[in-house]
Parts: sequence; C-alpha cells; structure tokens
Amino acid sequence: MSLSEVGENKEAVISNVSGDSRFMSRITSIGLTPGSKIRVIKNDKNRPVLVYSKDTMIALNRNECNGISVEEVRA
Amino acid sequence: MSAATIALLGQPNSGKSTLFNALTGMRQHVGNWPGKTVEKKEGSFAHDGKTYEVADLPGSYSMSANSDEEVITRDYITSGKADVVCILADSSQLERSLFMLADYAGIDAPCFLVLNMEDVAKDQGKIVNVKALEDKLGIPVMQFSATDTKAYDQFYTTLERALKRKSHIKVDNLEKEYEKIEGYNEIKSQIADGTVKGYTPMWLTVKYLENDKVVSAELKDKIPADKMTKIESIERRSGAIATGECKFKWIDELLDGAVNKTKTDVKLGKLDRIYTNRFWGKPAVVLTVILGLLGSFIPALPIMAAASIVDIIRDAVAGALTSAGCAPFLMGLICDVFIQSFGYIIKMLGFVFGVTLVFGLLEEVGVMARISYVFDNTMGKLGLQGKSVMPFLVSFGCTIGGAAGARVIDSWGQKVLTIALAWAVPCGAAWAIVPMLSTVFFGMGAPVVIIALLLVMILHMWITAKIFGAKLVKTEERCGMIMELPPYHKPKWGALFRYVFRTHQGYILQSA
Repeated sequence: MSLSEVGENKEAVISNVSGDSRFMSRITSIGLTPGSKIRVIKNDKNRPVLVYSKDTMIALNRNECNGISVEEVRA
Repeated sequence: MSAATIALLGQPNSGKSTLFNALTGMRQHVGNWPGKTVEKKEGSFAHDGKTYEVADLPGSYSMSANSDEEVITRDYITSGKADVVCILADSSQLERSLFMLADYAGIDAPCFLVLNMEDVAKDQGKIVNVKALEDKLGIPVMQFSATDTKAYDQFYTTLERALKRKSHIKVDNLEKEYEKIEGYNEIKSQIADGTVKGYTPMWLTVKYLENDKVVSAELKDKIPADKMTKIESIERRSGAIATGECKFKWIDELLDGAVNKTKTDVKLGKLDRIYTNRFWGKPAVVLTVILGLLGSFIPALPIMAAASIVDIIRDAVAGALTSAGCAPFLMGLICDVFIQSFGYIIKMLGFVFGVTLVFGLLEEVGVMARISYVFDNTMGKLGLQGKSVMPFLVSFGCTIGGAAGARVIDSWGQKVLTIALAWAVPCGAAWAIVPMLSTVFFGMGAPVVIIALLLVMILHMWITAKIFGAKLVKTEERCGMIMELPPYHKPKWGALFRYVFRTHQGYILQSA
C-alpha cells in the first residue's frame, strides 16, 4: 500500500521507493529508505502527511507519498 | 594572511548558520556564487592570534548534484580552497543526520565531525560516546551546542587537531556494504585512482550508481571509451536506494555501542496540534502572521518615532528659507521632496526592520516550518512553497513588508516569484480608500466591487505565476514538500539581532 493510505498513529515499514533520481536522492537523504520503520502522525486530506522516522518529524507532500510503498505493522 | 580556511557542511536544521554566526560575528560578507543565484556566505575569525577564513556552504541535503546548491558545495570542497571541512550533524537525530557524513565519505578533502545540539540530545536522554565514534571514523569528532557561547574552546582545539591531522573518514566498512550492490565491483574496477580530482573511485562509483548526472558526464569525459562501454553495459537499477541503504546500515553500525538506545515517545505538542488541525490550522497560521505583523511595530516604533525629528528639521529649514527670501519652488523642492522623503525612508526602514526581525524570529523558532506545512498544498498550485503565504498576508498590511518577509524563502526563484505575486495584493493604504471610493461611485454595489477587486487580484496572481513561474521555478525542480519539522528552538537573540543588523547595513548606507 501507499504511505498516504496508512492511518494515523499506525506504524509501517517502507518496502519500496520509486521515482526519478532527484526524488530518490532527496527521500534517501531524509532517511526514508526501504526497511525504515515509520509512524504516521497525521494524515489529513489536502495536507502533507506527517511521518515520524529516525527520531525526525517529516512532512511529505501527498503526491510524493505515492512513490513510497509500505507494509503496515500490525500491533 | 589567514592560517587556514574552514568550510561548514551540514543539512538544513543542523545548526550550521548558528555556528557560522557565532564564529564570525560581524566579520562576514554575503554575496553570490559566480554565475549562480545562490547566496555565498564567507567570514573570518581570530583565535590565538591567528586568522581563520570560514565558508558557509549552501544548505543541501546530500552530496548529490540535484540543485545548484549541491553542485556548488561539491565543487567548493574538491577545489581545495578549504583546508578542512567541518561536517555538522544533529546529536538528537544522529541516525538521520549522519547521512551527510556517509555521503561525504570517499571525498578526498580532510574533515572533522561536529555533533551539534548536545543540549537537546541530553534532554532526550541520549548520550554519545564521542571517543568511540572518533575511533571508528578515524577523524576528529566533538559534541557541543553551537548556541552555548562558552563551549567554543572545544571547537577551536578540535579544529586545530583536524588541521594538524588532515585525516579522512575510514571507509572500509562502508565499502564492504557497497560491494554487495550488483555491478559495484565491475564499475569500480574500470575507474582508476585520480580519474576525477578530489574523489575516490569508490565515491565516483556510488554516485554513478545513483544516476548522478554530473559524475556520469565527467566519467564519460575522462575514462577511455572501451572502459566506459563496459561501465555503461551494467544496469543501474537500484539507484540511490541501494546505496542509501548501505549508508544507513553503516551509520547504524557506527552508532551501535556509541549511543545509548532511548525510546522517545512521539507526540505532537499543544501548538503543533493546533497547527496541524484540519480546521484550525489555516486560521492559526493567518492569526500567527497577523500577530507577527502587529508585533513588528514594537521594534519599529522607536525608529518611526525618530523619523518625526525629520519633520521638525523640515519646519526649521522651511522657516529659515522663508526668512532668507527663498523662491517657493526651491523651498518646496528642498523641504517637501528631499527632507520629507528622507523622513519616509526612515519610517519605512523602521517597518522593514521590524518585519525582518519578527519573521526571522518565527523562522528561527521553527514556526515557519509549520506555516509551510499548512499551506503547502495551496501555494503549490502557484508553484510556490507553503512559506510564501506569509509575504502575501503581510502584503495586506504593506507590500514592502511582504517583500522584506520573502527573505525566509530559501529558493531564489520562488522568492522572486513570491515578491512578483505579492505586488498584486492591495496594501493597507489601498484598503483605506477602496471601501470609501467604491461606496461613492457604486453605492450599494460596493461589496460586489470589493469582491471583484479580490477576484482580479487572484486572477492577476494566477496569470503572473503562469507567465513567470515556469522560468523562475523550473518544472523539473518543482518538488513536493519533503521537509523536516524541526522541534521548536529557543530563540538566540544575539544572533538574530546581528542578522537583522547585517541585512539592514545595505539599506542604511544606500539611503544615507
């Protein structure tokens, strides 16, 4: 599933990242690589998704999220 | 003659500017990198009777070549102009912020590592074993808080050590990870030492795998055709993802045993819960900007009051000229044009000073990042970033204030486009006469006229964005927001005042 489909306060692991090389290097440099554990903090329509990963709060544009697939971690 | 030149390298929010400002104080000059619209900040400081030059490299997230900023940073580092590169990382987010160091590893310029924001990390219970990191990395490492002015002795001694040792990051473990990538060894075997000055074959191979355009072109240029064909026959499927995973794995190994593991509870603070609220977020941002605008009058008022002295001078001069029998035309020219407008300049200066101070403060504290978040979608339609909403709102008060506030937008193209669009927003003076005139001319139809004016404003902004947007903010450089929301910081008043003073030196000199 796409990162933008993860519900608030749910945890997930990034399974794949795809996009042009500019996007790939940018998303890597902020620490969102396959295998990274993330926690969705806020996910409202028309707003960037707020994600917590590697001790960092990250705001991600919804369109960019489409390039990030995740697997939800079931608690 | 300076003793050494230091280059500061770090991701946004690593505290690079704080360090730069604390080191150089007023001894800095700001210009542009030749042929580029990227700000160039240099400065100097004296310690122990020696002078050091400092170059604040443009903010970038990695060592890849995705923006002018990153290309400039790379070129500067390999040019050999710097004797040592100071790499900054955030102690409270080492796992992520050491990425710059990992991406740097393999560049042939000596460096040392500064773990900044020791105070934040300590508050979170994170303790870093600096010595262990130093042993693993093979370069000098230190930890401090750049905001703590008493902590700089440690910085100077580490700097001296780095200058003496001229050491490079140990890359053996990192390369072991890279070697697992399909095609890495094959590509690297075709690249001889010193193919491109300043980079090791390992670094070049990694950047080639990441589809780095500059490195790919350079390799094509420097490597014999037969070897290049071999390189090009290898598919670069994994790109930056595979190498990125290697880098983060290496960082994990580095930190393993060097940092105690803590489990921080992630929760949004009270203020962030309001800003990120679906309904209250936008009103909260508008309110913040209005309060900021009102707040800017507090530091502005003394300067504006001082401008009234000009009126007294004008009256005195007018009196003197009348008694001297001066021609009314000449008197008008001197008193109403020269002296009066000088008064306006001072008043305007006071206002711009206030706006720069207050919105600089909002940026420093971390509020501006929230504003970006809330308006990212809306402003994105104009090709702008969320922060641009702030100059627009300020422009309802005063266009010049809005233009001054555009300073906090980090991309040059977006900054210029914001200013070009902010001009369409009717300012306070216009609002004072718009309702009156529309009532005089249109009577009951006045509200319709006012709404029409607002619609024309939006249309104007939209057309301007369409015409100039593509040129100023290139489509391929338009990237949706991928941004860190930094924790709120306490403001550093000294640094902020210096920043405001420096940006106003120019105005003061020009108007004087």
